[in-house]
Amino acid sequence: MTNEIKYFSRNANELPMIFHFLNAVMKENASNIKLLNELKLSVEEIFMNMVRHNKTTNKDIAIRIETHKNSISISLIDHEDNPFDILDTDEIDFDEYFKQKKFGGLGIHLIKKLMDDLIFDHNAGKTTIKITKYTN
Amino acid sequence: MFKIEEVSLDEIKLIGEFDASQAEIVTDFIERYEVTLTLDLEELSYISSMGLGILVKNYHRLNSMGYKVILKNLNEHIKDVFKYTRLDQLFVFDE
Repeated sequence: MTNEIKYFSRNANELPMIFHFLNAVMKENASNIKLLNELKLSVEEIFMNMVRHNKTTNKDIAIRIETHKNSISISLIDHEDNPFDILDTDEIDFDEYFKQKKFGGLGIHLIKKLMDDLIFDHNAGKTTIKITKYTN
Repeated sequence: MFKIEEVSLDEIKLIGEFDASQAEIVTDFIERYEVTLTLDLEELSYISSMGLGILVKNYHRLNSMGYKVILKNLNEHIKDVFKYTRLDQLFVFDE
């Protein structure tokens, strides 16, 4: 079992370093490329949402990775007073989505499809979004 | 690590990890094409929702001119991402 945390500045250029962190902590699961990619996609989506939508702070975003015998959990922690609850989003109507020629907004839908658990919490000016994937 | 290469006048290859940090590079590269465009994804190991959005945007751009976007050589992860977002109904797959 591991529990590691690192801090990243609010910039898309941090993504390679975030992925490096994931790969390093999850080296026991290195052969499971599908699992790694699903976690990377979910972490990237949450991180970029925090970067794009929270302009009220310059503070780093914390990423904590916890590995357990049968699961992996990753928490992204940001400083904000008026959070956007990603659980409070409607299901995508794909017929309308294609008809209206939209091309964004698929990330949260993908997280819900790919992860086994998704928790949103806001307390004392901090937002934590925690994703969990079961490995067995 | 990410690279985008021209294979021919109507085919390009995406290589490596296509995350949000590559969005501008890929947009500038793909938007030069006004043909039915084939994307070879054999060496694409990862794509994020931002990457998908750029492909969908270009699908609509080329489709409005009467062209298509053809995808080939998708790995399991990339196939799943297209399936979960129903984008497998939008693009043409050359399997």
